[in-house]
Amino acid sequence: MWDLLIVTPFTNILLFIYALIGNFGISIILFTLLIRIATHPIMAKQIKSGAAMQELMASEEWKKIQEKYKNDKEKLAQEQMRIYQERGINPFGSCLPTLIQLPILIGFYQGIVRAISATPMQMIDLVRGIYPWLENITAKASLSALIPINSQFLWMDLGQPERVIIPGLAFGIPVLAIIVALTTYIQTKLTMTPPANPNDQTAIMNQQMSIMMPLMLFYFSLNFASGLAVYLIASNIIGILQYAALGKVNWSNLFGNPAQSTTPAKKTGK
Amino acid sequence: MKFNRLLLFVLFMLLTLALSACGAPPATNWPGLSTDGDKIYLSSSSHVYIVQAQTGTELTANLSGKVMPLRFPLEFDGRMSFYAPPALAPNDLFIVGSASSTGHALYAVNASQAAIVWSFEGTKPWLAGPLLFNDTVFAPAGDGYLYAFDLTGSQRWAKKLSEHALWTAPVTDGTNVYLATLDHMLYCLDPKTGETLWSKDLENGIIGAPALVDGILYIGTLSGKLHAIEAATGNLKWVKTLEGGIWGTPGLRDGTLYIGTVFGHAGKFYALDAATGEVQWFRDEEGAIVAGPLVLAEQIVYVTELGRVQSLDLSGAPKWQDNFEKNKIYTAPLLVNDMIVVAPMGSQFLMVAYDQNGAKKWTFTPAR
Repeated sequence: MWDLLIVTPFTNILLFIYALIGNFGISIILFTLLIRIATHPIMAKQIKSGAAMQELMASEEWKKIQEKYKNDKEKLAQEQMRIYQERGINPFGSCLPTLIQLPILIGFYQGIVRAISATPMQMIDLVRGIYPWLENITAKASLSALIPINSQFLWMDLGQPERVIIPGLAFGIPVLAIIVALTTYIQTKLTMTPPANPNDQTAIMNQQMSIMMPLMLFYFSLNFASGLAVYLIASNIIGILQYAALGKVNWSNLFGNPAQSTTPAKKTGK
Repeated sequence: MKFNRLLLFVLFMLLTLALSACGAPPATNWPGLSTDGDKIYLSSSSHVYIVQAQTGTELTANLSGKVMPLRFPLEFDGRMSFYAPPALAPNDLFIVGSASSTGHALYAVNASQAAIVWSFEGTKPWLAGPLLFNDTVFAPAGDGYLYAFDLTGSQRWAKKLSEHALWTAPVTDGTNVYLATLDHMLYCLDPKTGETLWSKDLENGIIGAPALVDGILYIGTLSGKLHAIEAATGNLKWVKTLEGGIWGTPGLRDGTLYIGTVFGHAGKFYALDAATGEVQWFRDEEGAIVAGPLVLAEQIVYVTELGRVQSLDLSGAPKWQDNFEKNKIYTAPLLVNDMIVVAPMGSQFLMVAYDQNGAKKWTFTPAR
């Protein structure tokens, strides 16, 4: 079912873009853009929920109930729920969209790996999965035109982990993985809302995430097909642009310590 | 705090597992089989196993006073994985390339000690078996080059044939070398220089190596077109479109050509007149037929993706069958003396040998 609903359609969209463009790396970037556009409403909602939560936590009412019921967890939870309902806030509103994007990341990666097919055995699934009607749209999307897919993009083979070999060095430099880590770090920092209280759980969690996420994605990019790294870099850059377009980018976060800031996020958008 | 860290760790592990679940490195392929009659060489993931043909037992070596299973490498090495059938050379040498995502060497190995005699460092995984002809090793590589080495490992020439990895084994008629590529081309090359004598565009991907009999190359494409091409000139003799894609090497006996196809998840097995390409009979299979058949004097044996080993007589009537339920078979059956050897995937046995009536002679599971 996962294959039918996620991996096969993703693979076919990717192949269709490849058929039109003729470059697999550019196809990954364009598909990333498509995914980002398609999930933009979810992301906008996530930003909105995050901002509302942030405002709520900075409010006097919230601080009062924290203090008042600090020894009665059950009552505190009831009061928190009441405030959520009153203000129309979904406490999971900011993390649910992230969870929805997770299957997209996994499905997209599997689509890349399938489309590139590093072995004959992997190619069996690719050949079976290509929608026959694609070639009715353009002859460039026929089986004979699509196979083999040229997985070379710039200096890298998108089906293999990427390393730049420098003469004299005994090991390759994982340039793409480093860019993934950097762009992830920048994106996390730019899009993080400064907390009202730097010592609260959310602030600590955000700080941890801004370090953990780049490290996690660095590890993936180091070990998996470089097509995933191209997707992650494109996704990070497009994500930053999306936040910027919504006026939610905190440029000062990159140069200061957001955990120590007590001013609310600068809002230039709606 | 602890909970958050635990949550991040669990998320990390889940994502790693999910990303790895569908074809992430290391890339895998079906096993490769070859034999010199006494021994069977099985390339299956981390090792090339060397097995006694008559008994199916793994050979052992006494190395520095320690008796260990004779396999290459002797100890697990993360930079090595093998799927191509090894090419067998004189002086107990076999040649095989690593298909690992981290190690891309072609190795010449002393079979009695599993020791590397020479190696050549490539840049991409090696998935096709090399050909040994006139003391030259012709090795199709993952970087799209066909390399020619002498038996000491000196490179004679290298010829770029494809922008894609080379996945099919070369064949020879004793004069020239023929090689097909995934980007639709069939090449005839001068074995001494690598010069292209002729080439032909077959208009679709080719994965199965050609069968070369009496000066005719029989070769199929993923679109199901089976071609008969004159080896000397490259001229097309006939072409026949079958249902499904052709992934294996056709078998030929007494003027009849046999080949299976991948028709979605099902398969079809065909017998055709080798002179004209006319279909004589065909048989439907529930499982796709990826590998080429083994054609013997009184029977044809083929394997399916659903784990079936099927024997037919020459008229297409079933003789015997065996089933490896929940296992897949993509490797072509191999004739070893009077036995038929198959290599199922995902089974507890890496190899199973049958006599010609379908009775199991032995099974092979590597010693731990």
